[in-house]
Amino acid sequence: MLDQPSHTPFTGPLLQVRDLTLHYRTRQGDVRAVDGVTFSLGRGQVLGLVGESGCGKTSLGMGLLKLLPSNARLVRGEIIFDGQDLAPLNDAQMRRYRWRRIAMIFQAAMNALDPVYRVGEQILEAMEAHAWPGIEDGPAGQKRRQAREKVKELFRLVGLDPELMDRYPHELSGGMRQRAVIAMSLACRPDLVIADEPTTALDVIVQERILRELKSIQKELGLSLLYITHDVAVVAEVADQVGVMYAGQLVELGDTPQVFHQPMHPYTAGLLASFPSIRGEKRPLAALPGEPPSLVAPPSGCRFHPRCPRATKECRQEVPPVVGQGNAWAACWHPLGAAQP
Amino acid sequence: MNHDGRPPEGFAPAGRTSLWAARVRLALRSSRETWRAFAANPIGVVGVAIILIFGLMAVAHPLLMATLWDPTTYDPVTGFGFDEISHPAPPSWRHLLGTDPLGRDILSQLTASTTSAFVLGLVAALVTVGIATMVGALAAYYGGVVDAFFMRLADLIIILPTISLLIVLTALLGLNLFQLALVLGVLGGFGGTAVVIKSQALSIKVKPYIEAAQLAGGGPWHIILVHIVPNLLPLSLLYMMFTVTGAIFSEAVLSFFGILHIRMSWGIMIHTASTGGYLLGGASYWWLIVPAGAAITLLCSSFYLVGRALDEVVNPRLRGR
Amino acid sequence: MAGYLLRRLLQVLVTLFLFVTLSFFLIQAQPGDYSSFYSLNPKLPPEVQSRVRAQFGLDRPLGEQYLLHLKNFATGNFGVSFSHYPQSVLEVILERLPRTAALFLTATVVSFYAGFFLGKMLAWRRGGWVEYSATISGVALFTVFTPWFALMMIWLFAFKLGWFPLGKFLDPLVWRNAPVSANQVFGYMLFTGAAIAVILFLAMLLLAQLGLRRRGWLPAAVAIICVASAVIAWAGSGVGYLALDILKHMVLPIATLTLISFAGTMLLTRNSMLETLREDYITAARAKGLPEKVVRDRHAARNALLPVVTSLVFSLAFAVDGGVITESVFSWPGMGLTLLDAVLSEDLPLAMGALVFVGLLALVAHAVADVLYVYLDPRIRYQ
Repeated sequence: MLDQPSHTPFTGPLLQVRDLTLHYRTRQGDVRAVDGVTFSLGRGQVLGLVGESGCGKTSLGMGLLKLLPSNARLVRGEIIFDGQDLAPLNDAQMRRYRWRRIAMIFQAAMNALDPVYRVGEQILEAMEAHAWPGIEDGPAGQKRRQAREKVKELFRLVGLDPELMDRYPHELSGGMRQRAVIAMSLACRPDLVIADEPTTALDVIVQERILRELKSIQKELGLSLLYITHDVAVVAEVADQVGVMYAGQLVELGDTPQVFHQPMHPYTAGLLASFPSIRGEKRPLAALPGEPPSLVAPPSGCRFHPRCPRATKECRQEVPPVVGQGNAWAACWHPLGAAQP
Repeated sequence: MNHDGRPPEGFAPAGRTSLWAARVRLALRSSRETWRAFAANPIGVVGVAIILIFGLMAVAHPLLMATLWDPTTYDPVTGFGFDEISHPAPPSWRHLLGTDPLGRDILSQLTASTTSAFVLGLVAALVTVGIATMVGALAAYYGGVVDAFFMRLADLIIILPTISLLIVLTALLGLNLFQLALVLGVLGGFGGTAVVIKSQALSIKVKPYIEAAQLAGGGPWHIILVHIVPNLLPLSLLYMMFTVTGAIFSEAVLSFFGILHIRMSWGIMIHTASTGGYLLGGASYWWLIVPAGAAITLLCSSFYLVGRALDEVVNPRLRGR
Repeated sequence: MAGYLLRRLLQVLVTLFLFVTLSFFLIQAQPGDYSSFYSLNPKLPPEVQSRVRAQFGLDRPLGEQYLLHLKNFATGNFGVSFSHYPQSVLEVILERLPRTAALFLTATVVSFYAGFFLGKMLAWRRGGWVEYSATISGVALFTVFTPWFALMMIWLFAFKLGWFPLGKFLDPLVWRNAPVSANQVFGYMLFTGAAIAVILFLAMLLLAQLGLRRRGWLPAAVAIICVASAVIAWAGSGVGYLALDILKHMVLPIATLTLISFAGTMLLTRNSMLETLREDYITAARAKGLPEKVVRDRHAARNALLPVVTSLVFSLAFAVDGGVITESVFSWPGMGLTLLDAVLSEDLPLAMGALVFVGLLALVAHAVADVLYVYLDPRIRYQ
């Protein structure tokens, strides 16, 4: 996959990921969770990363912050954030980037809050670890008081009663906790927020409301957002650009409307077809046949070929070429919209 | 833990017997898997190996008494090593581990005590698990006052220092090995083990097949005995291991204090050495206390290790650490 | 929180009631009764026997005896000790309880701290021979035959190396011309220890209020000043050498009891910590860019502490039993040795009294652990 386009049309992209490859060592062998992923994300942009569970999208998100379990290994690749490659940095050096520059909204946010501390305390703790960003210098007590005001402001921004900052996580409802976690991610004024399935555990109405608020906050603060989800409908709503992941690889990337209306990769088409349209158009629901492949011994050639209706001999044997250019491409032998072989 | 893989009620045409037959078959099948998971853990295998070695010692004693060892010299309680000039005598070819202050063969005492340790541990563990399984199932099934009573009782027994209580009990009643095993079993069965098994029983009680059995007209006893208790057995087996450790330990301590009516045990061996004033001889009389002390420690820890390893198999949460 | 505490207190009271009832049945279960033991004892005059019969209501029906038992229990009336006649059981026990409490408290606190610290470190730096050997020695200490281990400690540190006395509470040679009694000195020692603990606690609270706790050397300095002033005060008192003698006798039993009780805490903390480390909020804490030490101590260890405190209840009974064994091996004249001696000399009232107080000690420790848990877990605090 080295020949994927590495240049981008954005001027001075905030994040450039090149050929990122992550392996987990297990008893069964190396799990190639992320394999040669390349993309870039501009300032103030939203990139939606979509794929089935187990396709490596969460590993990719955690890998960007280098928050991986001890059996994980960054095999190769570059994570260029604001001109600095994060890949070779050690833990102490990474710490300056974590939360201060790149924050995260976790999957299952209910568990991202420590049950024994007050919610506000957990936010202040992050600010303290980064020398109170955005707070005027002064005596410790005064900085803390100012920071508390800041947290209250953030709570109002995400639609929470500021009084809730002195509650414990178990006293908050699921939606409230999710909002608190979003507020926490904004506390150090990061440039990039990685949101990993931030609304999956919530009911649909709350999910919808939080999603809209997240989008408006992103616009207001000019954040870059990497939105990781399995839910195509959510991506359609928030993302400027969409990346589609399959079996550890990025198989298609493009502007959201384009990918949704004219998908090039058969997998993208299958994924879109397996979700009901959010606009309520009547479409037959077609599920993708088969199972996602094992990442220990992925299929040869194009990894999607065992499930692909258009698969041919070359799909089984050869790594597919990149079709398209710039910020709209797919890795496929027989992209949709081209003639059938 | 095969309650999820059990065939539904309708597949057992003739009721209880065939249900049990199916259960046994399934248990055998899953026990092979369980063994594989268990054997993957070196800690558990070491534990089993030590237990087997002690088992051999227990078997060896009567055989040796019948063949090589002359009872007048080698009987663990009444024997006397006439061949030695003074006692305690250090290890020699005739007495591989030497003799105690009363001229008795240490190796013979050591092997003879193994049998009593196993008997004690087994009886205590069986009584514990029998009581705890019934108490746990009853408390979980009925809840309310039954549950409250048994749980407060368990609280009390957990808090009570067992050894102290046993010391007073021996003073009041005078206990022999079998009675001690019974008392330990009763204490364990109404104590901590009951609490653990009850919480497991609670999770079984809400399974759909219990409700199905109730709708089919099964009475409380039928449901407890046929549906709840069998599914508690894996956990019960696990707690048997921990009970054995506790029982052997308690017996050894009480014997060490010299307040039990027991013929011979490791604790008594140390007690004999202690009352004879040989303890601070330290290294010069090592054979008086090192073999017995090591035997207690080793057998206790081996059952504990097997329990820990089983715990990882029975609790899937811990598996694969 | 008040509701939860009240409920737990009620449960403790029910447990206490069950305990009293159990002790009544224990006495009933023996062949004969208390007074027949008294009559067999040549040390006791006959009028004592009739007094005992009246005191325990042995000539009355069972129900009345039970009520009397409850009353005796509530008023601390456990009768007269045979072996220490004419001392009452309560007098004997009150003399010895502080010695056991000191042994038990010190060993429990030290072993909890040490076990928790080591368990935390083991889980944090997984793998390698350190974890392996620590786990093995932990299991060995946890299952070692306690009397044997205590004897080995005496043999090595007292007999072979001669660092500490062989056992007992004090050295009679040192005390031959002592101006004060051992119990008095010991009482003052306990007072000193308690005072240091309270002052340290208050100092920590004050430092936390001032926001100075993060400065690591400050608490240490306060502790050193406290201990140093206590040492100077004792040295100037003229009986410092007596306190030193008792202290020397205390070291080995406390060390033994600490070693056998800390392993359980260590193994449990390690497991609990490994479980906690997999929680999402630990990843979140790392993502926040918190220093590793903060992630480990403030988040992982703080949450791993909860199940360890819960199971402290189990280990408390274990520690009390360990104390009984340790006392008897070291001839430390506390409750445990009293219990054993009473049984060996068939002094039943004293044995029962000692058992009741040992049980009460465990019950109080349990209640304290409960309150501590409520303080530690906000999910219960605000129920």
